[in-house]
Amino acid sequence: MTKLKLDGLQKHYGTVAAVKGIDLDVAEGELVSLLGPSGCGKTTTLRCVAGFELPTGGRITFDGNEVTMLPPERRDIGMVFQNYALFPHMTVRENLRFGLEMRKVDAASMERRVADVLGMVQLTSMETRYPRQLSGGQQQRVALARALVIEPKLLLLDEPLANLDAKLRDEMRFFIRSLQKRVGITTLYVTHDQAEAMVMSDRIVVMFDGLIHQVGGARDIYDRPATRQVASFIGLSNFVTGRVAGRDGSLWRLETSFGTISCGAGIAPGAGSPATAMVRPEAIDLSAAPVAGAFPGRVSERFFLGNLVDYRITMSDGTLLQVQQPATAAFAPGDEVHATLPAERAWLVRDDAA
Amino acid sequence: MKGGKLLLGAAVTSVYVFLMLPIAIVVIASFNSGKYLKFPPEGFSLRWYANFFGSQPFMDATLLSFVLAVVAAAVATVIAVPAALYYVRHAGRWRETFRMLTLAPLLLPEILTAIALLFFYYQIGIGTKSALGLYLGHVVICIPFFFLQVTSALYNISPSLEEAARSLGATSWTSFRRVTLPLIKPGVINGALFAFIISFDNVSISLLLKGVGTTTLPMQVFDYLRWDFDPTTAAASTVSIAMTLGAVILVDRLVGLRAMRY
Ligand SMILES: Nc1ncnc2c1ncn2[C@@H]1O[C@H](COP(=O)(O)OP(=O)(O)OP(=O)(O)O)[C@@H](O)[C@H]1O
Ligand SMILES: [Mg+2]
Repeated sequence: MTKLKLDGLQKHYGTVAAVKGIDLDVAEGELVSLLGPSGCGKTTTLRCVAGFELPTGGRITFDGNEVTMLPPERRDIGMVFQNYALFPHMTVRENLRFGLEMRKVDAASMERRVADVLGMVQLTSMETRYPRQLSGGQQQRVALARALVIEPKLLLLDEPLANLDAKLRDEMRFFIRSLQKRVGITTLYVTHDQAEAMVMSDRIVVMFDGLIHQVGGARDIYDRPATRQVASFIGLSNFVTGRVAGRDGSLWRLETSFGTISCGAGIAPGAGSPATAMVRPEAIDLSAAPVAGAFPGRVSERFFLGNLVDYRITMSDGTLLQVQQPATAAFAPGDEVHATLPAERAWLVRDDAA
Repeated sequence: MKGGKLLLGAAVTSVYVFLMLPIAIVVIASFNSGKYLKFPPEGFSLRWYANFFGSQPFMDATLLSFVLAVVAAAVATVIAVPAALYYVRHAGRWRETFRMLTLAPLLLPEILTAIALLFFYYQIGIGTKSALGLYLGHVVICIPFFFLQVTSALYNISPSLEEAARSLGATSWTSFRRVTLPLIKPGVINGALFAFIISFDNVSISLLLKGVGTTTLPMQVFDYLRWDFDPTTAAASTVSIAMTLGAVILVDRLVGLRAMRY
């Protein structure tokens, strides 16, 4: 098992900065996802770790050994590509043997390892088929098997599920995750699908425009997003802007134009400075009767979502809040309501737009 | 609809007839027993073949053409395959310039290429005394066709295959040998075959660059025709067609020409 460390990793293509200096530690046996919108530099980061791109700055180490400039074949990695990249002129078995041949593994252990891994991905009966004779999901599993059979230090996957249909994608998430845990291999996983990242990862790295905005577990990222971009990329959110009025213990008071709310924060804004708080739509409580600490508003729209009802509430100052409540609660457009924004679910985010 | 199909059939047939008939006539004329190259033949005879195989100049020319075509195809392989790899996988800013330069011998009239090479050879002092210039000239005109074949083969395989091989521990050379080369093999073979045929048939480059006292088969046919209008030239052409066809069949037998699809 291997620890991966990135130190100020940078990659420029001419004048384009794809990765602008990122630091990351991945622990032994951990699965870390790189999550972010298209073009944010996820693939570039992964390719630098794989050795397909040479960084223009920074260092990459495996277990403390620098590999920054090593060619890919000397890094001992297993990689799964979005298009699987199975060798079309080789059978499943030959595909799996390729990496072992490169390592000059003796014939007997080669047989055994190929058989073991094929068993793990449940493809024992497909050994003699060519990739074109397999379904997408089977090809995917061969690709995974080919990367694992060499028992690499690191497993790297670049959107491995993007070409599968929704149902299979769901199954494969769990399959890959349980396989990864069983083998205990340190894994870097690229995706732009937040649900995938949340289901599969020990920790998620959220990237925007070549920079890491936040590293954390699914809960951290959902409940305590570091920046406005992170909050809007993951799930639905309301942003309330105002001025910092002061601090009570671990909570901050934010003066907004519809009232003063309390919120947590990972940053320490100066009193009086402008700030933005994030509240998830399902965190807001609505009641017909006035409640202590609630703010008055009016239901302006209502959408039925099955398990939830989605309201748009216009606050006294005109601020529009999105609120989701269980379908049992029933307010109609035009109703007067009182909205509670619980302090433990409101969170100050860094907002470069403000 | 039916009429349209008939018309198309007729058009295709007439194109084939137009292309193949002259060749058929040459082959038939080569067996003519009469003294002149004409059609229809006056009787069956192999005397012109005897004449052809018995003629030292024809034999020398055939041998030279054959060796020239084999060498040109071989040398072009060594140049065109890496060139195509560089162009498709690695070329950066000068990509298009590189392609234009590689294809230049195809875009320029062949005779211009020949003249340019001739001047160049005299400038650098190799002239046309040795056959070196002739060989180089043939290599130059073979490269563009070869390059195009290999380029399109490379475009059909994903670069991530080579990367996958590298990630599994293969050096760049091993991943080329074990993954890329087997997948572009049909393109390389077609390219080599193209090169062989182009060189074997070539007139304009040979015309200017052949050394004094040596000649290629097409040139020898041409020279001969100027003085004798007997069917020896038809026999020579038939042999040349047979050799080209032989090369195609041989390659097909050895490695299979059908595009290999996976
Ligand atoms: N070879 C290259 N030359 C120039 N620019 C590049 C190159 N590769 C990537 N880029 C640029 O670098 C940035 C990051 O690209 P990257 O492929 O890492 O994004 P990504 O996060 O993987 O996006 P996606 O989710 O769409 O795959 C993009 O702006 C892209 O245009
Ligand atoms: Mg990508």
